[in-house]
Amino acid sequence: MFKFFRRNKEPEKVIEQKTEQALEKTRTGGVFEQIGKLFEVDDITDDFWANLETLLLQADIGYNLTEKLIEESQRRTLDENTKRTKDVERIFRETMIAVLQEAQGKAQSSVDAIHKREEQDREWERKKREKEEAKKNKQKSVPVAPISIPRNISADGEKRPYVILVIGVNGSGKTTSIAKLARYYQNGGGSVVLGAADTFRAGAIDQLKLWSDRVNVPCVAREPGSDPAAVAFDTVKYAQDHKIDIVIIDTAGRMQNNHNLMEEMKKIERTIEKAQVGAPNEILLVLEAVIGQNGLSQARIFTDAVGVDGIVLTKLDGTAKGGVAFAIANEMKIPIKYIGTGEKADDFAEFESEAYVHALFRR
Amino acid sequence: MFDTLSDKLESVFRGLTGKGKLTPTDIKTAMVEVKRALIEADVNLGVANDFIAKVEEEAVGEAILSSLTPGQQVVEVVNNKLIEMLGGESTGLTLASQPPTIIMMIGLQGSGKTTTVAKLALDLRHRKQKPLLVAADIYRPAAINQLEALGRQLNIPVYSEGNQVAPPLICQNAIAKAKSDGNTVVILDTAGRLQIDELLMNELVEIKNRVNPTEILLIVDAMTGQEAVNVAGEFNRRVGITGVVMTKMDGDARGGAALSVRSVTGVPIKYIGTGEKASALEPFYPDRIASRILGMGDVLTLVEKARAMYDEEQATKLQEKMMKGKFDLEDFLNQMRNMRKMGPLGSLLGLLPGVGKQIKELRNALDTPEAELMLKRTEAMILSMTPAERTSPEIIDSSRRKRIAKGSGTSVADVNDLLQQFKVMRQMTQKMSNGKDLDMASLMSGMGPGMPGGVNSRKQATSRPVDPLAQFKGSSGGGATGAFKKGKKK
Repeated sequence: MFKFFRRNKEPEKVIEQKTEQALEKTRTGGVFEQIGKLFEVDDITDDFWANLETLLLQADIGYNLTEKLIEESQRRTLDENTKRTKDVERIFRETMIAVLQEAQGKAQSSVDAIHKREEQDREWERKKREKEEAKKNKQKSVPVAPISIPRNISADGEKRPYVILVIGVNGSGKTTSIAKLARYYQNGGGSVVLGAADTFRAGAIDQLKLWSDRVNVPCVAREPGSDPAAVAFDTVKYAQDHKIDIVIIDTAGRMQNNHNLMEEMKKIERTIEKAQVGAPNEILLVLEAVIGQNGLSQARIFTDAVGVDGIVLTKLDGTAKGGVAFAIANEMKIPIKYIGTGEKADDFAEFESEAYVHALFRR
Repeated sequence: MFDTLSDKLESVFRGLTGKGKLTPTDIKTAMVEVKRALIEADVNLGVANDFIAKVEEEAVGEAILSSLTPGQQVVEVVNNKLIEMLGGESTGLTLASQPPTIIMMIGLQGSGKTTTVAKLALDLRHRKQKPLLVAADIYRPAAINQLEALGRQLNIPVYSEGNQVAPPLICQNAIAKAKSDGNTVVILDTAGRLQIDELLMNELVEIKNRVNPTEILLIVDAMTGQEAVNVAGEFNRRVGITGVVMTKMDGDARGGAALSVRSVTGVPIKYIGTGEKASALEPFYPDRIASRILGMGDVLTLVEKARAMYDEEQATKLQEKMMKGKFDLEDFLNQMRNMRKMGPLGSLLGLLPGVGKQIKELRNALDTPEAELMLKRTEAMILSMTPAERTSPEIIDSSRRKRIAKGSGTSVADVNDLLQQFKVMRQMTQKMSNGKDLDMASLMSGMGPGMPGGVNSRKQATSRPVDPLAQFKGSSGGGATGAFKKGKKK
């Protein structure tokens, strides 16, 4: 169990390629594909916009963002004085990408966006061609940015573990995502330790331990029913003692309206801070793709309680595509950071807005 | 449950009921709002459109528009249509005429199958059945451990063959085992799967063909968005489901999935899961859920919860005592404990009619550790009294008060408050015992309209003679609210 990380067998593995692979698994039809097909019409009519609205609502985008996307797209269509479906499709995609990117802190004012329009258009075409070529010679890898391992260096220059706390409601896929995240950082050359702080659900500790064996990272655990904050504390200490780069802590699923469990989560956070000043360095909220508008309430309440730095969108290999994550990006400015696309440890990728939006509407 | 939807609908209907006369345009405008509320509650778009069309058609009818209370009538129409949408009659679990009854649980990953298996088993055991649980999820790491751990907790046998045997075979063997062991119900916990996963869907079909289940229940997470109907529709098409269990209804889920699944698949919702405890599984009643959605409360469920936690014999004794005016602090303590067994106080309040937005604050406050602490404090005070003091609180003089305060770690003022409250309560029960029937139902339903007043009384002194909440206390041990009052004062 305490075998430390193996050398990565495929060091040339790179983000973009992985995103592509992961997204390949999301090709399962569903409402976004229908949206893509909507753009196959000859003319943009009122009916077109009405249909778009219907489909966006069915994609769990929510009323507010649906209205915003349509108004924005219509306005820009008018500005550009175009009626070509190809233009409208591009505008619509750009609008969606802008929502996601704004949440990622890469906001671009809409004026800039219009100026950059043609450039982006060409870029899109170019990427499309590249992708087609990449598909043809799949064997060749296209090296882009390697996975970056977050380094946590203290003021006096000492290396300390980077602590990630993973939270979410019951059944969203926290434990599986943690295993995947561990594998992901391992592939990038980092050492990882897992903390089994879901001491409540029957079998949760066993589940994380099994995963830790599979992906070959150590796992710190106590007895079922023990104090989750203590487990989190132990895990951080273990990482400090063993000079491990990254700590990932699993927590029990909790409903955001359950006062006591939310207090428990705050305590876990405070205890981690006691183990290491400034930690947890990252708090990830796990949302499953079939979630509806409740996802917004989760993002709000979990943010109020402990602050959420990013979202892991899971189960994207199903037909649902997590439309509410767009609404969360729009209203809360919380970015999607990772996507999960299956039950294997490698069914996982860093989230990339453009690739994602283009993949969504692929047809 | 349904809070957001209730709030939105309440404000739409307030606009309608406030008007003496309604025009078709009024109704159309209101329906646009209702539709928006439904979509935001994750009701499937198609279902929402359908619903609105039906309500509108009926509501603009002459009879309603010309009625004296058109707003009320519209709410009535919405209520009826909601019940219809939720399936009309309540449908229970079918048990095989020739045991064992075989129940197959299926659903997406993370919908709550394994937890529901345990809850259902517990429920069936209460109904004098002998359940056997079957670990047929060989894929998810530690799924078998989870089921076995739950089985141990509840002392219910679990059948498993590890994760190397094909699930259809495991299920088949389990049934043979159940027959030889005399188990009357077999519950199959299958692996979570996507409805588009051909391989795994075929596996379900094969299990079905081999064991011929009495019930095939689809487990649906109440937080599911628009996709719920596609998921349910596809599972139904491929495997054929006989019922739905909506889980995680204790979250602040909008419940749209519950509203949509039934109307799209035509398959009844049989149970709802309402919490983490093994007892948190309730039968599904369309009319009661509709009432909850419309903020009209659900007194029936509250009464049933009370009954389930209530020893019949104890209840009769208590009734007699009350009739004779001999209700004492010991009974008060028992009542309070029973009440706590029923679940978080805040969620119980939510079942009361008229408990909408305005006292949500109170509901939240009741579910805090502080409120819990107040309950414990009241308990400690009673436990610090001698048996004689509990039966005749009149004998508690100032010296005894001091002792009780010391013993329970409270102050004399706290003890005074408790005794004062108890006195008021006793007067109430005596008053009521002069009336005719004294069962839980009449006690509880009687307090409905008084609820908002109760909130005000929270802020006032305890000396208010007939506090509407006192009825509540009288019926089911409200050291809760009384103690809470105290907590706020400090």
